[in-house]
Amino acid sequence: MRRGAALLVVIAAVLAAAPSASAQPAGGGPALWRPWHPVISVGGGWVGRASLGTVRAETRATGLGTLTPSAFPLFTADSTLDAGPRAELALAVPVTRTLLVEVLGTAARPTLSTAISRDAEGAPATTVTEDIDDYSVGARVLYDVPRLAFGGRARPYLLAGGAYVRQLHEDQVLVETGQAWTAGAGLRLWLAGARQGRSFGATTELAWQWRTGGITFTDGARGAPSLSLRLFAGL
Amino acid sequence: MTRAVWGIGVVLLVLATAPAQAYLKFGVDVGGRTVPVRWSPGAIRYFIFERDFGGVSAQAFSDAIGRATTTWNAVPGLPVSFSAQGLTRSQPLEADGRTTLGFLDRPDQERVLGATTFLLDATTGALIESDIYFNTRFRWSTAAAGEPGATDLESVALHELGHLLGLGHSAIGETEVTANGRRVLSTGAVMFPIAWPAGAIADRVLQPDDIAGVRDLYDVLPAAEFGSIQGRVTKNGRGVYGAHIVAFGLESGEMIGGYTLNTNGDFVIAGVREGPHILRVEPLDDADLESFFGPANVDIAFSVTYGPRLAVVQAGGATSPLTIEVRPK
Repeated sequence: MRRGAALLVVIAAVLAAAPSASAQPAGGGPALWRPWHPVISVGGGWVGRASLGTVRAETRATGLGTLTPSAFPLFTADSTLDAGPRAELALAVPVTRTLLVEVLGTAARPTLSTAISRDAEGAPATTVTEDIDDYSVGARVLYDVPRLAFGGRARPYLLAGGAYVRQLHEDQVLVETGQAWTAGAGLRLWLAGARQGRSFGATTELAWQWRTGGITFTDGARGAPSLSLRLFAGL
Repeated sequence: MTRAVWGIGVVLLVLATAPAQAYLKFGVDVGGRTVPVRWSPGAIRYFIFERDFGGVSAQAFSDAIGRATTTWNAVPGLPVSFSAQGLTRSQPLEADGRTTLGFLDRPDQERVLGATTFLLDATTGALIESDIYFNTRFRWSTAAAGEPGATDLESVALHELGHLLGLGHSAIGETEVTANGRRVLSTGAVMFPIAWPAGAIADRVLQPDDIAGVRDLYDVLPAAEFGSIQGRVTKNGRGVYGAHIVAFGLESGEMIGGYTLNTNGDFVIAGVREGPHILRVEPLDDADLESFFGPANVDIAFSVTYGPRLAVVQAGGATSPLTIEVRPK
C-alpha cells in the first residue's frame, strides 16, 4: 500500500498546485461535462476503522430447573477492520452535463484486529490480527452542483451508490461477500479542458460507507468514513 | 467412563478400553493399532433393568432414557440409532450380550453418579455390549422441571449414552476447588466429566462440542459445512502433551474442543464450522486428568494462552498449521 500512499501524495500535490492560470476553462463559465464522453479516474483513498462487533464466548453457568441457564463469559472478542489505504479505479459516463453514472472498483488490504479481553481465568488481554484482501465493484451516481462552481473550474458534487464487496481471509481459503452503500460529497477541479473536448483534473471526496454482509460478527450494517483523491481524464 | 459428582479419585469402570487416542473419542488397542470404539451402522438395541428406586419407577426410568436416546438420535446423519427393547431382569454389568441400563447399588462409588462399561471383542475391537448403571447411592429425579436436591436422570443418561456411543470427556468447562472437591462453574458440553449440582437439568440439551464429537466419530460431518483446525502447542519451543484447545467461532459462536495427543504437541480439531476462530489453550486443570486420558506426561504447568492469529476454517478443508507457544507458569 506504499504505492497507494505515494499516489495520494502526488494527487494532493496536484490539487495544491491547481490555482494556476493555465487551468482556466475556456470561455470562463462553469465547467460542464460532455454527455456520453467517458471519464476515467484513478487514485487512492483512506478508509476509516470499522467495528465488526463484540462477541462474548460463553458457556453455561450453573442454573437449577432450566434448560437454558445463564451465560458464563469465558472471554470477550472485539473485532475491527482497521483504517488503511485503498486503490481506486473508476469509469464514469456523463448522462447530462451535470450527472454522471460511474462504475468504481476498489482494492485494499486492511487488517482485521480482534482484541481478546476479560478472560475468565485471567489471561492477559491480547490482540490477534489477520490481513484481509478487500475488493469492491459497484455503481454510483454523481451530481455536479452547478450553482456552486468555484471560479469556473472547481465544482462540488454529491454522490451515492452501492457496491458488491468480496473479502478474502489471510490464507485466501475463505471468501466472504457483502454489500456496501455509500453517500458523500466531493470537489472536482478541472486542471485543463473543462469546456473543450478532453479534460483533465483531480477530485477529492469524503463519504460514509455502510456495509452489510462480508466479514462481520454481528448483524446489521456498520459504517466507516472514507476519503478519496483521484486524477481524472475526460475523453 | 463415569460421571462424577465432584472430581477427585474417580474409578474407571471401563472393561476393555485403552486411553482415548483422539479428541473426544475412545479407542481400543487391537493388535498394536488403535481402533475407535463405535457401533456398526444400524440400531443400538438396549434394555431397561426392571427396578424401581427412590420414587423413580422402572417405567419413569425407561421414559427418561427414551428422551435421552431421542436427543442423540436427532443428531443429523448419525448412522446408528438407539432402539428400546423393553424391560429385562438382568442388571447392568452382567456380560450377557445385552446392552442394559438401570439402577445399581454401588455404595463403593461414593462420587460416581453413573458409569458406562463396554464389552469388546479383543481381536477385532467390535462392540459386543455396553451397560450403563445409575448409582443408587444418590437421589434421582425424572421430574420435567427437575427437583431440588435430586440428580436429573435424563441429564446423566444423555452423558452416559455419549460414552456408550464412543465419546470421551470434553474439557470445555470451568471448575473451582472447594473443601469437598470441585464445583462446576460452567460447562460447554454435556460430555464434561463433572455434573451440575443436583436439581439442574441443562444437560438434557446437547452442545455443539458434543454434536461435533459424535459426528466426527461416525464420519458424518458434511464437508460443505465443516472443516478442521490443525496446529501445535509448544512451551519453550517443545511440544506440550495434554493441552486443551478450544476453537471459538466468531461467526457461529460455537465452541469446539480438542487436545494435543502426542509429545510434539500436535492437535486437530474437526467438526468446526466455516469462518474465523479464536484458539484458546488451557491446561487440563478443571477436572482429574484420569477423566480424560491419564496423567502420564500431561503438562499443566502453563497459563491460558491465545493463538497468535485467527484460524480461518474453510468448509471441507483444514487450516494451515498454527503454532501456539504457551506461557510457562
